[in-house]
Amino acid sequence: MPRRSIEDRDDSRHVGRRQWLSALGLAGAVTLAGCSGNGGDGSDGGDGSDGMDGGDGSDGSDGGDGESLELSDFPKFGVDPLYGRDVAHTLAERAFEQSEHDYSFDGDTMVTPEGDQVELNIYHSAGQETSQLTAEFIAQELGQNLGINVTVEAIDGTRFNNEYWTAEPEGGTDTVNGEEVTWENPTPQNPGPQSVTSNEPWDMSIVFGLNTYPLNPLTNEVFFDGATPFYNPVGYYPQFNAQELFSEARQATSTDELREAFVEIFENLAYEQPYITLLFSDDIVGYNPDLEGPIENFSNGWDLPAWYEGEPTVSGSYDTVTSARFTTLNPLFNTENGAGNAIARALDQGYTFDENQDYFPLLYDMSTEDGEVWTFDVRENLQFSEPYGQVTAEDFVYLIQELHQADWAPTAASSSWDGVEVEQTGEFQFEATLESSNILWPKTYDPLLYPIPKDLVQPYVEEEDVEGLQQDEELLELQFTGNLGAFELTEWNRGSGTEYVRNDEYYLRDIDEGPDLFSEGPLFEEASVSVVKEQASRLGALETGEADSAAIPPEQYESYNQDDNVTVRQVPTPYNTIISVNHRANGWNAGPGNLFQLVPFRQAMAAAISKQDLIDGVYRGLASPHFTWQPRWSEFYPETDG
Amino acid sequence: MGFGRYVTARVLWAAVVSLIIVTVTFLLLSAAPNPAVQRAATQAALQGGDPAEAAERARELRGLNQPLYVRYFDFIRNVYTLEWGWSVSRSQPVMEAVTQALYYTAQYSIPWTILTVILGPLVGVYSAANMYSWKDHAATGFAFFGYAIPNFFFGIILLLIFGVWLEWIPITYKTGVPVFSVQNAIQLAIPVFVLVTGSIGAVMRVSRNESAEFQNADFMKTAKAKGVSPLRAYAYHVMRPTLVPLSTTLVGQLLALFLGASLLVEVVFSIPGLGRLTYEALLAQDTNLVLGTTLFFTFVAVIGNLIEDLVFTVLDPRISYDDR
Repeated sequence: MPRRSIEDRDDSRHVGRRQWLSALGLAGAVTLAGCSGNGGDGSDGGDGSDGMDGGDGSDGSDGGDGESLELSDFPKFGVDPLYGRDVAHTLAERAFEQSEHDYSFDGDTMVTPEGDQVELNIYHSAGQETSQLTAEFIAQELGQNLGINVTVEAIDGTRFNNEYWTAEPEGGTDTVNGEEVTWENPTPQNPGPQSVTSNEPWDMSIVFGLNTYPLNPLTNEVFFDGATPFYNPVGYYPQFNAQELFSEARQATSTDELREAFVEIFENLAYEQPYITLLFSDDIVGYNPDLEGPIENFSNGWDLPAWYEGEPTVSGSYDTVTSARFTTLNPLFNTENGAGNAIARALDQGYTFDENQDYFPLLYDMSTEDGEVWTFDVRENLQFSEPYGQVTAEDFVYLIQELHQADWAPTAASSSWDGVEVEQTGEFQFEATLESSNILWPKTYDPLLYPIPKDLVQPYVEEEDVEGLQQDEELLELQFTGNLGAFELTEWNRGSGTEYVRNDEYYLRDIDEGPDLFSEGPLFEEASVSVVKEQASRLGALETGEADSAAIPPEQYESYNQDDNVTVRQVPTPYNTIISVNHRANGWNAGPGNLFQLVPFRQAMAAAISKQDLIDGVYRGLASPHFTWQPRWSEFYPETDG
Repeated sequence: MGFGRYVTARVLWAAVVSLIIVTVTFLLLSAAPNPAVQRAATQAALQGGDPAEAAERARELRGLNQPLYVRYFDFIRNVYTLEWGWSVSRSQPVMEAVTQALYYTAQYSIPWTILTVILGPLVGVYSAANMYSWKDHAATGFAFFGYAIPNFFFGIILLLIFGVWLEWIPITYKTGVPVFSVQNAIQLAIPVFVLVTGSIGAVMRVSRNESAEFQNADFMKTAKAKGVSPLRAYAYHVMRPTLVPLSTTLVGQLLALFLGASLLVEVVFSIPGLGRLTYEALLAQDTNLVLGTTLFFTFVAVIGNLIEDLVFTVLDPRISYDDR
């Protein structure tokens, strides 16, 4: 994505084009010291909703009161009143009733049919202190509120992925909600029914967090479209008709219809807790205090050409630091976030999303009547560098048809254009017809294109020369960008980063939309992205003003927040921290059966863990509670008054 | 054996050694799983694509779908024709990558090596001359401090003091400044200081102990009796015999330090040199680049050892290559 430049974050988690779709896998990739989480009173973090129906004033006290516990359509587990020992016990007892096996409580201790205490293990990412503290907090809460003895174990992420999380795809059939379901296209991440298991048994894990796709929640199909989606390593079988609801969402022709379909999906996911939702952690970014422009929003950086330092006049340099160097700056083949941001300094893509997460046209505007046929209107003031001339619809159509849709050219965007019919309808207009309607198509980032001159790539297309295309100097050094980017790339030093000078001809100055300052943008004479591997050096550069922004590790949030040389911003993310519980046959190694397969048991687990104590104790308040598969700031969050 | 034959034999042996090293490197790389392929598969699965197809495409892109022997012979042929190929992790020719990285590494490694070679023996002899005095203890303490403190940690501390607090030096390394400029000297001062303190310890200790042997040797007594100045006595009569055993340690040690130490210092000071190049190439499994850097270091080590042997015979004419 252009203009979404928090490029200094360590874990490269910021929104890129395709990368936005990737699972996080590093949810707790920060280190923290000290944990004060004590399973206290479970204060609700001020969410203002009690999550319970009936209003009977039940405090969830043991026995008879617990029987009357009724859950709302959108229960918020882990905050008052759906937090604590009594609620958790009540829900667990419902699970015991559903189970074929005779689990029970012996006082505060959960015991197996044999009378032994239930013992489970939880894996966290080795070497990541936040991850370890989170796992220890979960173990403590499950011990206190459910009487389960939890063993905390560290594991390397790659090993966990290979041996525990994924399995050999086998396929098979099983009965889900009374219907026979067949795994026709098993993947390592969903190898088959619950009977198909990974090499190693496991109970619980917080090793991986996932994306919740708030801009295009339809993408969550990969996790929850029935029991056979692409990505279902835990073997979750929805107890609601997920496929039908996703199908409705796919066919929606208006945002209202879409929202309606999603409200039901997200309420069900909050209720069923396929993964035990815990929190969304924030990205902490430090900025030069004189810098005007950054916002605490997912779209932070979309209006970079209007950012300035001190006075809104053209001056100075916008310098950022990043931890990872760039593999390629060839826009056709880049798949890295960091390089995407380096490219974005010099080359805009088709569109972006503004601070309200609304579509904002850059190179082209997109419109549709039915979500199936989309019209692209290309701006008429776009110029490539000489000799390539004006950017026209033909360049885009050629790019899509001859490169993105060609079998011989493995471009980064090739999967985005599968099955899409593209046709040029005017000098500055083309149409794309989708296989099925999708009114959120722009939000999938699939129709996001870089402008690439047809004449530049044509010789390679004719020869089907992939290597030539990958190694073309004009593409690698961004020498064709004309007036299409805020800056011009002057040097790409492979080891140390990129340097730019202001593009005096930037097309964005002549557009009508956007902030007034676009008419003068960019408001910096120069820009640079420096590769600095060492975190301490990146932070030092931020403190001394050598860099205008850098990621700040949470444990240093307080000290930088009080530092006059740095302005700290908390940017919410859609990446979650969850407990994955193993619904498959090699999950639940405490005794017979698998209580993780039972909705009330997962609810009991969610009710046993105080989200706010976890956020305050381990994440130092730099996170927000996670109730359903959307962050609260998403327009598809199932509650408008939340 | 004459000198010419000796050198020829050494060079030929070096070629064989380099071939063995290159082959082993190639085999190890081939046997290791490729994380890029796995990443591509995971990415595809998450995007709703076919993981197997994506993995296959990633393998094809990297030429990993060809038989092992084909890849090996391609490899060997290209190595000896200096066609070191294209670095996929940097999008540039390998030769260019190595040359570019060497350009930055040389800027700190040359002063580092010179200072270590000069200061190490000097401090050692000084220490020996003042054995068990406070001067000896101070010099030994200094040497051990530099030897004991990890380079990367020392670097960060100095960066904090001189960069962040005093703001005398820049935090991020500027690649654009001229090599022979005050700005470059300033930005390289701390990295060189860290490296010199790190490597001087061993040299200093060896030279201290070696020179101690010669302090009271007959030729020293004679020199002193003849009224030779202490400076001349130490330079000619102590330093020279001290350097003979030291020459083996010196060159070998500095070469060994070259890669490891420079990697950490390059990371801390953001210098895009050979250490980082090699390390990143290994992580990215960029076969061409790994080969390029391996060859480079093999070459340096082989030449270094050759020089070492020659220096040996020059410093002490009693040592002859005839017997070897």
